[in-house]
Amino acid sequence: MVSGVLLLCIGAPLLGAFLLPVLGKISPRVRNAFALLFVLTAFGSAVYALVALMKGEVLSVSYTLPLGLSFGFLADALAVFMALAASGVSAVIILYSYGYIHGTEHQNEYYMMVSLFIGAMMGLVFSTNLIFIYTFWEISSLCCWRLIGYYREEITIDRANKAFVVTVFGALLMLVGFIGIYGETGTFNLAEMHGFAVPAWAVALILCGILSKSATFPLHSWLPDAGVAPSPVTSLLHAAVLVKIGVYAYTRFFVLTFSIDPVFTTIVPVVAAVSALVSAGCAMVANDIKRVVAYSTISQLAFILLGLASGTEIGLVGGLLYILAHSVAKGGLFLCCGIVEHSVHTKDMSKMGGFAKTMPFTAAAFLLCAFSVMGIPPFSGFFAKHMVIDGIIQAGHPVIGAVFIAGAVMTVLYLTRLFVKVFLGKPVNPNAKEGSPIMVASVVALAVFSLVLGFLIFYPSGLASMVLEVM
Amino acid sequence: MVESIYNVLSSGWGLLFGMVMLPVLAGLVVLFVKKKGAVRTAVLFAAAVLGAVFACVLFIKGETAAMLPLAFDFEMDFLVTKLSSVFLLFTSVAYIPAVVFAARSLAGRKKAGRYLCLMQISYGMLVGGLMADSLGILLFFWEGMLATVFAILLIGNSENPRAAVKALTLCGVSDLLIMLGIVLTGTAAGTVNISQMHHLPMDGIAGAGFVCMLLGAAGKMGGMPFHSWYKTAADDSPVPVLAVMAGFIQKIAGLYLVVRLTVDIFAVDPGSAASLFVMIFGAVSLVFGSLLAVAQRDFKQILSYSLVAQAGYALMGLGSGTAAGALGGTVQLLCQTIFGLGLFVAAAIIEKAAGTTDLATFSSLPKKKIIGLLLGLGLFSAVGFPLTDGFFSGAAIFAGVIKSAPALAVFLAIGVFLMAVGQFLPLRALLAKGAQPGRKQKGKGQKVSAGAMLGLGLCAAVGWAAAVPIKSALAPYIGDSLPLEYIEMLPLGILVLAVALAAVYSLLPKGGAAAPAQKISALPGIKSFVNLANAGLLDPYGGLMWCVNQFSAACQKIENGVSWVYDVAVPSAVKRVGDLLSRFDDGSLSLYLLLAICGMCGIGIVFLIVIM
Repeated sequence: MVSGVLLLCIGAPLLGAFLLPVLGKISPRVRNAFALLFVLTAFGSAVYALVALMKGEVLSVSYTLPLGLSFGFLADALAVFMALAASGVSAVIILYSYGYIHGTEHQNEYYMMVSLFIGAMMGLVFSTNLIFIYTFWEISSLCCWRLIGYYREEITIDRANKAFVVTVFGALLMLVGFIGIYGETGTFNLAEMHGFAVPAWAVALILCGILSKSATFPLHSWLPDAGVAPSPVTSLLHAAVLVKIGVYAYTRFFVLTFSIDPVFTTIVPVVAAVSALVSAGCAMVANDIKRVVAYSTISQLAFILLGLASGTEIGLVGGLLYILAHSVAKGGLFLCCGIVEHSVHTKDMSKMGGFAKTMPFTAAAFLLCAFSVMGIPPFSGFFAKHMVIDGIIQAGHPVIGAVFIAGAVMTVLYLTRLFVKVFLGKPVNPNAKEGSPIMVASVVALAVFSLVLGFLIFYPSGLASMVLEVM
Repeated sequence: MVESIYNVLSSGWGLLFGMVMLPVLAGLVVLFVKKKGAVRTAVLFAAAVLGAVFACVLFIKGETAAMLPLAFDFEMDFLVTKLSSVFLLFTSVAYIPAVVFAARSLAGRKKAGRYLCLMQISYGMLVGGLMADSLGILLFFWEGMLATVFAILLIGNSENPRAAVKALTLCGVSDLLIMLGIVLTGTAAGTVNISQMHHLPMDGIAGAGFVCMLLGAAGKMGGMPFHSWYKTAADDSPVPVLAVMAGFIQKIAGLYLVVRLTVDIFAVDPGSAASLFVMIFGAVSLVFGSLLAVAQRDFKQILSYSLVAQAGYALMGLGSGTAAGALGGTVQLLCQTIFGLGLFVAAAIIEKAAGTTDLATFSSLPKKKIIGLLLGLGLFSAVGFPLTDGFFSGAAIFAGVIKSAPALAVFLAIGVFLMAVGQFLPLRALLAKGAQPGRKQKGKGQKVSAGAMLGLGLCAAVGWAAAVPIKSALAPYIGDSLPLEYIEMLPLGILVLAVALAAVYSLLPKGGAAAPAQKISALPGIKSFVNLANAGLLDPYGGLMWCVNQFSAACQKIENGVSWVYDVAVPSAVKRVGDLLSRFDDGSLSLYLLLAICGMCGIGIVFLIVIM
């Protein structure tokens, strides 16, 4: 039963995904319901793992394979934290998809890829073996490629190819790094490598994979371009799950497992600082609504990376909390953009304005989510950002801390600019209207959760601080 | 009774609900009470009175400490010290007339419930900040006001939200400066708890932390260069809301932090670099704020710039590093906060009667002599006229500045003179004979309610005579400025001279309502300065946005370069390599063999590199 929960968490969305096209042939409604069910199964299993964790029991399962290989899954605090964040937001995104994807072609493939992607994410966070982490990593890249190119137009296919090539190229470099580690340790099992001092070249190669997945400068270019995908996809990929894989891997490898050269605790924050500022600058001038939010994601991911790389406990907990806070709030922002785009059939902000009057719920949800990303109290983003910056200052990098505070100012500016241009001013499109009830309910749920999470920050921070216990 | 209330209040949850959540809940109730002005006023009044009673209990009991765990290494530490309990008591008592004034003024107005609710949330945040022991928690509460200020201005004008954006940007920058200051100070002190910091030496990281926090706090008070949103906000928000938000809540928040920084947390010695920095900063706010006030022709705009000047005036005293200056600055700003409310009441009365707050229409106002008398009471106090409270606090500020940096007393005297001219302008406009030609009054009526006049009178009286209780409450914790020594008679002389000159200059000359101001504005140097200000060139918001736009353009160029690599350079390089390789595909066996050997050698080299 205990090991079954972990297998269910990964297997339900991963294997269930292949059932969805068949169900789609029978009834789209049944397919949609099962897609949600698979993700909720993953979420429920993660909740079960959390309850077990609170009781001091760490769920795990391991199997021995031929040729001396083995694989296993482990539900430690970090894995459970990530699984809860990813599956929770994904469930809301699937609900939203019911309204958004309705009426488009290739829906069977859409739900299959989304479910497969979530399964891959679950597999990745629970895996204890480098090769399986790599395998799930590449499955997620494959899903990402199909989902970005969902509309099948030439430009979407080009952009999907770009995302695929960049992330797979990064992953291959990471694989070389893994092989290098295997050459030194003779194992791919993370548990057997605890405290192993990874050579700097292997760290650099693995970082290439991490930074390409987490869209960090200069390996970020695929993310703003991937805005051509349907909005639930961008929300899932750019906000909630895909981009978090990289920062998760950083924590798993370089914070909890390996020992790395201290120089990386300076290099990574510097790279993150450049990424935060350049992307924030680009967000200030972009006129494509989803592009602005995508650049914002790159900028905020840098905050997460900064916290995780700070080498301080408070920074690490702040980084983990920001993974959750950002997933919820940025997921909401992308979905709000989707409602707007769905309604006015453009992403050009110069053709928008005054939508607060015609889409009051979307506007309010957007504002609440934006406040969280800006880091305004009492939203969850405030606590996370404060802890991250506190962490980097404690680590002895006040200049980098100051740069990130400048980045936080830029966040306030570009999100305000976006809100003002889209939702305020004189209404320019009288035909603009709210999205379907389920779409609006999804964004409102995420917005409210962003706020509530701030009041209940004690609970996720408790789970995040449990991550420190295994250090 | 006191014990029972204190027992409830003295826990973390008690303080949070009794002091912070109470006004917020009252605000939420008001939000859902539709179009019932009297009910709204009653609810807000009751909550404010209850809050004042709680504050009184905390004041009587002295120190109260409590803690609520929030997140990892992040607790909500409350510590109501003697000093903060004075601020708490003052704030909660002064808030009673403020909220009643706002509720009554907004009665029947559209979106009044939303305005009042946001105002209550802001007030709750202010109280939370006053009770915070941790600087992080103080920031938590005060940064929350960003959202409420933004929302209030947005409600006022959602179609052209320039004021809201400007306020959010400038307040956001000042809050983030406070955040940077907190982390720097925390690094230097090894803690962010105010109770564990006492007179930190002003060097290195701690000095930088002090500067950042001071700039941020001064921004909250309305000091230069974060002041410019006040002027824009005056157009987009109702007068009562602006009065309570900018003139009361934000001002007390900023003042409290400055007092804690200069009196408590850091060691600001007279004549030190830190002291000079604060005083110069204050002098700039005082002189430039006063000059800009003098150049205005609208009462609301004059009030907005007066807030800037008053903040600078208090900062000069607080930064002097002397007990006299610190006490003078604190008392001055607290008294003026109440009287400032009175001025805004006056603005509301005038706007309701005349439909405008243009000075040119003042001479035809009803009951202008009574309004003028009440206004005059407070105005004379605001600028430090003898026999008023402003005189004693002004003298203390002068004494502190002369002791710390005598040269700056010149700027102080000029600033007080200009401030007095600006403050006397509305009075002169009221006293001028006959309405100005070409000005149409579009007010709803010529009636001025007795209640509003009473409110103005009360505020004026408080502005005139509140210093004694405030001073006696604060003096044990800041230091006493009295008795005056012989040398301190000099500043009294300077103050009296400056104010008297201003009064003579502003009130006696003949001409239009704004004649003296026009003369000052036309002086060489000042004219250019005012022109620059009117053109928006002294507005830091414009400069900030210019820098941001330039930076963003540079970032976009970098991004274009990166995109070129991905979109053009790499694909074309791959294509060229492909074309090159396809040339070898000519059917020659020897060529294939050669390629195979090269490939194997390449793999072998890579393998050797890996295993070595």
